[in-house]
Amino acid sequence: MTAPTVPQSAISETILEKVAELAGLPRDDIDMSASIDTLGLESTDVVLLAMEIELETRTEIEPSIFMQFETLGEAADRIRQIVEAGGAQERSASEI
Amino acid sequence: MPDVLRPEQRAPAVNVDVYSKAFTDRASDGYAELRALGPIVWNRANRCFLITTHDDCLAVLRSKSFGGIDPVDGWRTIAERTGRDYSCMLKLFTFMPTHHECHRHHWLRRALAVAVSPLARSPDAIEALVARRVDQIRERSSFDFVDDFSRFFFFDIMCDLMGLDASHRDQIRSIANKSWAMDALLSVARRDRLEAAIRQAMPVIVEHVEEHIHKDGSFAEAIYRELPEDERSVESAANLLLIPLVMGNDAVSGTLAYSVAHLLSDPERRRLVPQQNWDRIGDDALRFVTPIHATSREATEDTSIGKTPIYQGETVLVAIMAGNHDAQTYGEDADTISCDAARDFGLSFGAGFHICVGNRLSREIVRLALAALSRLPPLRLRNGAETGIGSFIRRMDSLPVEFQ
Repeated sequence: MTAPTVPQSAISETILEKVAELAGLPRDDIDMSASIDTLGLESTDVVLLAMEIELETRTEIEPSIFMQFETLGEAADRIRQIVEAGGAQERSASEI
Repeated sequence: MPDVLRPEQRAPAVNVDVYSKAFTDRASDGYAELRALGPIVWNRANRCFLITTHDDCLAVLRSKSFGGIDPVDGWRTIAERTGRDYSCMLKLFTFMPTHHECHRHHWLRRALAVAVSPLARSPDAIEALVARRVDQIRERSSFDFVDDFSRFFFFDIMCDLMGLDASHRDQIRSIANKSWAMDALLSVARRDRLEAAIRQAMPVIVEHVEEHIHKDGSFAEAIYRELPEDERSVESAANLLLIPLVMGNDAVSGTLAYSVAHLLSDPERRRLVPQQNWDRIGDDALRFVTPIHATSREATEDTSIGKTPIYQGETVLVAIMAGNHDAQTYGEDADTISCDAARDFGLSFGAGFHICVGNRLSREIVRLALAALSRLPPLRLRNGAETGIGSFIRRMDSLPVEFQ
């Protein structure tokens, strides 16, 4: 099965749009140098953000990715790597 | 009125996601590094104060100034905002004693404790079940310790003790590896799968409870009998019966797998704790592995930890593994397993109001499992060990071993 190809710009734009919606901010007020921490998002917001990325990329994304990096841009880079690798990340073969 | 200090003004700041796989794969070293910064640090990645010493961890767990954090709110919010039906999980959470305070916590704990207590006092029954599992691996030259021994170890023993027959058991087996349900950052996809697993399991458990609530001495009967009159129903008993099956299996599996991996991985360790002595290390194995390596608490009032002010509503992460590996309490070899009988299971079952109600049963199962393994021919590791997902409970997914 071929890994999905999603332009980096599409991932970034989805992140920015959804983050703006969740944070209640104008889209233009946010760029990829922003961090989840300073935007005041709750853990449920991060979960919903990850869900939007999953719908966009058709790849399961762990919400914790957004907590592992300083900026949205770094998280987006990692998400692109995961998507291009066919979704391989911290998932367990044991999960039934 | 004194100024409110920002977290970074009250404690050294770090940015370490202690729930990431990168951290949990080297958790003991990671917590030691954090402890070196101070007894309490502000962790930006997890948005909480992290408690790193044994004594402070114990104090917070016992303190009435800190309460448990209920994951229900997160599940409910996501259900509302996505239009999903998480009714089974939301119901199940209402039966978890750790997420309640006061009266509900009291009767939930009591019902579980009364039901579990006789099981913990049945070492012969547990030993027979352990022996059956050991017999399955004894004749093989090599096997996967997780797949072939520990993965569903606690689940199968609990089902046997509860009297849950094989056909019912296989229908609900998938719930046994779902302890990651507690993770606040659980993805929507995983929540969907967990809801589906619980939804599938519930009718099976309800049927089991209906068949057993009039059988004196059965686990289901004990739970049903101990429920308050206004809460007594088959559905309530079924939800409460599910709790140990969902939450206990991964912790025991992780304890056994991580212990064996640790003890077999180093020649000096094999010399200090030879396999024939594994019957003596049950509690210390629980302390060392610390399957639940950290747990959150929320300040219910303005308080302090040592000299660090904590304001009402702030979250602290009790780094249980940091406490369990604190050399000040457990000596310089706190970060390994020892046959030293003076060492206990530490904070691995928590402490205070919310100490794990299944701790005696779990300790007995771990002790008897390690004792049975101690009587096997010498084991050694093969390549291919894999740690598992699950930020909440440390698990292994694979541990290939062979008889020497």
